[in-house]
Amino acid sequence: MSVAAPKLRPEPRHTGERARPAHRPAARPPHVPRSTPSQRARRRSSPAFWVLTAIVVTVLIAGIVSISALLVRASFRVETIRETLSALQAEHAELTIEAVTLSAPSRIADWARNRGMVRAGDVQVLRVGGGAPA
Amino acid sequence: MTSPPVGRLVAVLGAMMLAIAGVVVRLGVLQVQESGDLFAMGVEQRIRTYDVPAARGTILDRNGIPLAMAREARDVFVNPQLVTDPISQAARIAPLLELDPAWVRAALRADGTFVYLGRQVETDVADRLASLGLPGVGFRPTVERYYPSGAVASQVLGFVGTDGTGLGGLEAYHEDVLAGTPGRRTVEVSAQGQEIVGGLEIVEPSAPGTDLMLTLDREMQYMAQQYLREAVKENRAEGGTIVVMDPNTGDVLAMASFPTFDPNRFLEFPAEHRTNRAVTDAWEPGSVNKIVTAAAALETRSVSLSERFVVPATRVVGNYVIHDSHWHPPASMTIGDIISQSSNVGASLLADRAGNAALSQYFERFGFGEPTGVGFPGEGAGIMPSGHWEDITRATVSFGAGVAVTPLQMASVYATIARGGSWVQPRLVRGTVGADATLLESVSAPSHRVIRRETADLLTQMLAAVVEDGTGSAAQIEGYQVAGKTGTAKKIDARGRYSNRYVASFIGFLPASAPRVVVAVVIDEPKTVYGGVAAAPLFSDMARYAIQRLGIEPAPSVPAPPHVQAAA
Repeated sequence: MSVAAPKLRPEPRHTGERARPAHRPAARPPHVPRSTPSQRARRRSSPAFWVLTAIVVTVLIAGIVSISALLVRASFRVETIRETLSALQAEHAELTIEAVTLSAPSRIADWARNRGMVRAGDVQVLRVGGGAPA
Repeated sequence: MTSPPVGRLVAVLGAMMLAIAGVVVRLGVLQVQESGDLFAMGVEQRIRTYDVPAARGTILDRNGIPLAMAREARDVFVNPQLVTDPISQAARIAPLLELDPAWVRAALRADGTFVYLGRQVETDVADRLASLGLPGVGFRPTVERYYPSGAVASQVLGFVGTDGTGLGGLEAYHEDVLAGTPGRRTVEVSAQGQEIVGGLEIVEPSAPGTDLMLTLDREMQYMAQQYLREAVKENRAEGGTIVVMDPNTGDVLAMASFPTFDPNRFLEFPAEHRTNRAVTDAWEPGSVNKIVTAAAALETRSVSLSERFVVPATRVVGNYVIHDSHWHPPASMTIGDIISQSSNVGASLLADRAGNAALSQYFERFGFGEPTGVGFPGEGAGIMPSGHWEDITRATVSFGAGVAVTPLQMASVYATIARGGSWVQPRLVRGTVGADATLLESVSAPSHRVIRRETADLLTQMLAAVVEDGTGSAAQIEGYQVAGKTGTAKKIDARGRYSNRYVASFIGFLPASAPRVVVAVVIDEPKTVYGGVAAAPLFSDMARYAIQRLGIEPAPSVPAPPHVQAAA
């Protein structure tokens, strides 16, 4: 009965690096220049920042309000035009009816008769040089 | 210290629990089981849907002038529950709507929440009524049909009912084109039935109908009606019919019957005034039919142009005697003479030569016994003798007795001759007009050849001789050669026997060599009886007007038919 030989842990190679110790001391955080309280206060209360913010917000609000106003105005104009169109269509329909009613042949004939007019005579055919009718 | 009444407390608690359980169960039933029905009931009570009428399409004449159009109007209604003073309100409403005050009072006191006071009221009248601010009175927009030229072409146009549906004529025939699609308006109303301002309102707009362009010419139609009315009065006749056609296209330029009616007030006229007799009523054509007999005889080459017939004034056929309109001694006549002198006996001799088969075949080819397909409701087919033709049938049919046609069918026969022997279907509608005002022309009218061109030319010569030397001299027009034929036929009484009442007719075209217009005239029961006297002058008047209206120029005359001679 054979028994497998225990696996040997390879020895660290000596490549010039030093083996790391089991418990390394915590690495020091990189050096960050910490602002002083006076610097923080200066940044927070920077007037330029606030002015810029105010300008941007104002411009944005003004833009939105203007666009909204323009849209509302355009909407009112569209509505007005629509009403005008509708009114003109109604007027056109009324005028068409009036024109057609006024031009009715019976109305014109009655009107003419009342003023003593008579129907036109027949077409007179003139014969040129005694030949065929022209 | 006494012990608490546990039993009673438990009983009260149990009762309360039961009551609460009952409420919960009822809530469950209402909210779950019956919720659908209750919701629907609620919607039904507060949501109303009205039809929004579609504007009916306009009917235009061939030049685009409206003959029938939609006009805005209002339906006036009242909710009697909101009326505070029926007597005074009725007194103010009745005169404006031209209603009986007692009827209005009754309407204002009626049960229910909706009563119509007026349908299709003119907008200015409705506005005046609205300005009174009467409680409970409401208005609903609608459209009414308006015929701006009144009675012009009324029998062709027909009329429309209060609900906007075509009830007669082209209005009914083209209902699907003219009607459009109604819209819907859904609104929320209060318990009193009034619309809630700011409440639900859903509007589905209506789609207007399509405009229809006719072949009629308004001015010519008016003049046709005027001339017809005058002719009927002059002849002390019962009525009359006139058809004016363009033989080249089949377009009907004018079509009228007298008496007529105003479609704006159609209920005030009897039904017979509303009939388009040119299309629906058949009459025995009499002598105008002889041209078909002549056509059959010439086409079958059973008669030559120069052949002479000995034509007596009377002839015995079977058990019957047929006779000419006037007695004359036996005369030697050609086919041309028979037509120009309108001899019944001569026509029967021509029919004998052609034979039954050829005669009936040509009658059918000219369109007898079949509607023309002009596109009009109730178009008549006329009557053709069926089965085997006896000798007397052949004889009478040859001069237009025992057969019946509509005036339009007969006008088509003459149009066929005028256009060189090819029949074209008459038409009343040119097409539809699109939203961009462009005319979508109807499919061109079908046509088929009936007789050879040479035969048509010979028939034209014979018809010209009728007007120049024969019975139709009253149809002459100076400067123009007219081709036409007179007709006089006895009317059949209620028992199916010939009466002593007559129908006079004249059908012709001009100029004979290059026809531009066909005019068919039928006068019903004229006192002067004969077509040459009663109908030919009306033809002449109408043709003169057509010359002016259509700008028809004179054309060279056609020669007289060979061997035409007056009766001996």
